[in-house]
Amino acid sequence: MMLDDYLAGSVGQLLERARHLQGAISKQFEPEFRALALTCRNHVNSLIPDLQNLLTDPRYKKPKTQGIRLRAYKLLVDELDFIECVGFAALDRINPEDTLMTRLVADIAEELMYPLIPPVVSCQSHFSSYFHAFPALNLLRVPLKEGHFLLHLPDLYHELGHFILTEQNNPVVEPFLKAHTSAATTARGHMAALLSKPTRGPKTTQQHLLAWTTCWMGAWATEILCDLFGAFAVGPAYGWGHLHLCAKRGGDPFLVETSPDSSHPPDEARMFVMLEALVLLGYHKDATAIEAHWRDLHSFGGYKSNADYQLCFPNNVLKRFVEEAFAGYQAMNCRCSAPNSGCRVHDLLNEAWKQFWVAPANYSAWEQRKQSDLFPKA
Amino acid sequence: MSETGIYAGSYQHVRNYARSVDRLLLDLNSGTSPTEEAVAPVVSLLEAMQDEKTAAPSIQLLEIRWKQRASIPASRLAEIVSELRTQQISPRTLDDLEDLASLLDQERADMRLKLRGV
Repeated sequence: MMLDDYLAGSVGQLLERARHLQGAISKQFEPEFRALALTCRNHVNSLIPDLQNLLTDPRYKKPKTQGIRLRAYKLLVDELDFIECVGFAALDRINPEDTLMTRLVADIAEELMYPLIPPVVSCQSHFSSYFHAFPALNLLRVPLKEGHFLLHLPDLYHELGHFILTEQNNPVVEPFLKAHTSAATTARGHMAALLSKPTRGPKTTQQHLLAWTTCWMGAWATEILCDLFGAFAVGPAYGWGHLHLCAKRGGDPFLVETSPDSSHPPDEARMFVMLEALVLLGYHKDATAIEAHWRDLHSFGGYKSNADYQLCFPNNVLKRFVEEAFAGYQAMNCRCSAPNSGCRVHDLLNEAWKQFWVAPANYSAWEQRKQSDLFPKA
Repeated sequence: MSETGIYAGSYQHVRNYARSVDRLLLDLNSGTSPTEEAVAPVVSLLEAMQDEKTAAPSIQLLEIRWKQRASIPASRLAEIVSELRTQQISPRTLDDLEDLASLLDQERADMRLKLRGV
C-alpha cells in the first residue's frame, strides 16, 4: 500500500468529518453543557492541524518514519472517534433527564466540597457499561432511567473519585493521588515478596503473580481508591449499593481473575475496604448490618474464600489502602459522611436504604414519592 | 465502576505517552535534532519509571509491561535518559524507544477494543 496515497484520501475524509462535528454543535446549549461543548470543539480543533501534518510535514516523507506516521494516524483516528462517540454523542442527545442528573451531580459536588468542576451526566449507558466516567471530557454516563431510582445512585460518588485520580498538576487533589500511589506500591511490594519466595509453587502460580502485579497497578488499586472515596463521601449507602449491585449482577465475590487485564478486584475485597471505611467514620452498627447481609449473600450463593484470594488480598494490604485513602480524602478537605449531615442528597440516599430494609414491600412507592426531594428544582 | 470507564481513564494516559514517544522518534528518525520540548516528556516518563516508590500507578504499570515484553534491565532506563539528555543517542536506544512506542501502540489498540465493547 502506498501510505502517501492512502493518507491523502483518508485524512481528507477525516478532516471533513471533523468539520461536520463542529457544525453539529454550533448552537446554544444550557449552561451545564457549555463546558463540554467547548472541550469538544477545542479538542477537534487541536486534531485538525495534526491530521494535516500527516500529509505536509517533511519529516513524514522519509522512509524510516513511515511506521511512526501510521501510528500517528491511528492515534488521531482514535481521538476523533472517541470525541465523536462520547462527547458529541452526549451533546447531540441532551434531554431533560441529562439536565436533571447533571444538576444532581453538581449538588453532590457542592455537598461534599468536591475539589473539581463536576462532570456533565449523559443518561445513555450501554447494556454492559453501568455507570462510567470519561475524565478526558469531564463526562459521566449512567443508565437511561437511573435518575428515577435511588438505590444505585451512591455509585455516582465512586465515579467522582475517578475524575480525581486522573487529574494532573493540581495540588488540591495531590494528597489523594499520593494515597493511590502509596497504596498501590504497597500492593506491588506484597506481590514482589510473594514472587521472591522460593517455595511459591508451580510455574503457573508465578505467571498469576505477575498478572496480579499488573492488575494491582492497573484497575484494582484505582477501583479500591474510588470505592473508598464513595464510602467516605456518602457513608453506609455506598456499602448497601455495592451489596445491591453484587446481588443483582455479581458472580463469586472471591474470584481472582488471572488475566493481566482484569478490570475489577474481587467484590469481597471491595466490600472489606468499604466496611473498614464505615467503621473509621463511626458507622459501626451500619457496617455490622451490611456485613451480616453480605455474609448471607455468600451463603445463598455458596461462595467461599479461596487460596488465590487470600494470597492476593491480605487484610493488611487492604487496610493500608483504607488508611492512605482516608488521609488523602481528609487532606483534600472533602466532607466526610456523617449521620443526618443536613446535606440533602447524602441524607436522602442513606434514608432510602433505611426505608428499603424497614418496609421492603413499600419501598418502591416511598421512592417514587421522594422524586421531588431528589430533584427539588425540577 | 464499569469496565469501559476504567479503560477510558487509562486510555487517556496511554495516548499521551504514545504521542510523546512518537514525537521524539519522528525527530530522531528523520535526522532532525529534537527540541527540548520533544525530549522532556519522554525523559520525565523514563525517570518516573525508574522510581517504583513514587511513580503514578499508570507509569509503574507501563514499566512492568515494558520490562516483561523486552527484558529491559532496570539500569537500562538510566542509560537511555542519559543519552537523551546529552543528545548522544545510540542505535540501541533508538531500538528501545521504538519498542516502547510499539508497546504503547498495542496498549492503545487493546484499550480501544475494550472501549468499543467487543
